[in-house]
Amino acid sequence: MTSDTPNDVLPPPAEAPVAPEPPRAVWTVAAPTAPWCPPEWDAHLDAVAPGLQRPAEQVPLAEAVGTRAAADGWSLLVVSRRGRLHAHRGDHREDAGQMVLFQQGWCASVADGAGSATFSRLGSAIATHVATRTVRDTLARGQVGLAGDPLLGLALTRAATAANDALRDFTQTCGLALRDVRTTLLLAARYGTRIGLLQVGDGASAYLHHDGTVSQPLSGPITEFSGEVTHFLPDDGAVHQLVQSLVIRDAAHCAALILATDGVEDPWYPFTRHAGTLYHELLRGGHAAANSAGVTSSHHAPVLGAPDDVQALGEWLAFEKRGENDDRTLCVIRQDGVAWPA
Amino acid sequence: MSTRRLPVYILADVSGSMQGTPIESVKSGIRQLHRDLLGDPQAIESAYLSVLTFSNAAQQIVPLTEVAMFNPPELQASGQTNFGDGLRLLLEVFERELVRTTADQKGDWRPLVFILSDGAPTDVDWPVYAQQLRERRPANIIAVACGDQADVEALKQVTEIVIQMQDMSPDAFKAFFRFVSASVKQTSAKVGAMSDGGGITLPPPPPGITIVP
Repeated sequence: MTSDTPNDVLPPPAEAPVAPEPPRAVWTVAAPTAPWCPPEWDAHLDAVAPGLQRPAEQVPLAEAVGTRAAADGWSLLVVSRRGRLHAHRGDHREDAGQMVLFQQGWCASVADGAGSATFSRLGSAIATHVATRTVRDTLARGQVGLAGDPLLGLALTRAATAANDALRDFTQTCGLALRDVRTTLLLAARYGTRIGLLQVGDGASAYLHHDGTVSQPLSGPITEFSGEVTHFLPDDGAVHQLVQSLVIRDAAHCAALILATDGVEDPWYPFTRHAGTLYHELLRGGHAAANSAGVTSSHHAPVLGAPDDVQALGEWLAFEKRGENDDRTLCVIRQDGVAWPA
Repeated sequence: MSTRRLPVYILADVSGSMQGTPIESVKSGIRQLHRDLLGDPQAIESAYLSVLTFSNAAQQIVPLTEVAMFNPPELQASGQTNFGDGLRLLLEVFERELVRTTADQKGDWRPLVFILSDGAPTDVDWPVYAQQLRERRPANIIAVACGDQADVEALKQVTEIVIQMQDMSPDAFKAFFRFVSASVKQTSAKVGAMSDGGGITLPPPPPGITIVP
């Protein structure tokens, strides 16, 4: 039955009330106004960390800085990106990443300056620079009566002590408190067919084996709440923790080793579960891994092997996850000829 | 995969002595705190607010709610100062609402708690709960002694961070809630190290508000 009478015409459906959009986070990017290192401390910085490059000497005003190297069947890539929070507040990046190559090996390090420490950016930069150079120099010089694991272990423990000493010397000369330069440190070195690692503070490492399995050679303590680090260099007792953490593994079946500060680890937590897919994504592109970790990424092309892999990794590190806006530093070390299963 | 939250609890004394200007100032302060946090992207993404009150009994007026969805509550003042029930409820909501870190998930940031009181406890159980809070350290607790009738010693039993608001004028409350807002923004950026006892670095308190030694 139909009717044309106006009274039977159904009124247009009422529009559903539209709930107001909840306010969104609006992020801005501001250049730091404070000097990275106060000029009056420049000479002290050079004294404890000779050759340390200031950020402005690398790529001025870049949100991400990094470097790559390859030798002896290994490829290394490390990039450190300023987090959205620091960019919004016009603060410096507090993370640092370094690598060096030497005869029969390499050394790489990532560090995260403590957010509550005024000059932690200097702490992380000094620690990574001094530690990597100390490993290189110790292994280059050698040690009478030592070879293999004992020599690698000696180089790493010396690096731990040297980084701690450098931070303490720097604070003393500059009139700072130890807490002002607090930093984590994650250090890895290969010497011949062996890889050694040390860690104090948070951040994560992942060892990717040729058979597709992932292991975590070092694991920091799990604290009740987020962001609570039990030890920072150069606090009392931290260097002991660092030295005690030493592990040495066989490099033969290592397809890749990943070192990450907490800015990468936290969004991809638990790292052991996600590191394999994260590496797969870096190697072959896509974003399935990011989805599985709840991360949104706009960089879907392969990073490793890209024409400019430093830039590609810097872009990849801009992935988003609500509330995760810390600095991010990622080091990927690959061994040629050891395939990672598709 | 869930968002790591910075839980912020406000436990306010709404006993009869808070009637009038003080309770109106607390309400206005919470509205101001909310507005301030809406202007900070990190707070929008990570801070969650909850309001609890205590008078004859304690109640959670607003459960832990993300800043963007938070509605400042209406509060009314009357009755006694059952401080112990307020502390008991605080411990209860911690158990119910907080996410701890496990091998599978990252936990919340350590909560920030602001306790406001203008008087002395009228119950006898409060020392039991105060001791539990001190021993378990489930949060960074800042207790605020409002005016000169507040029982500073009782607040000291709960936390070592006690601040004194000299008077209970609207301006004093306004300044205090600005301090709360600055504390939340600072804490959401990065909490302090456990080697500091899990403590936080608070911004300097505004004029008229002093840290009780």
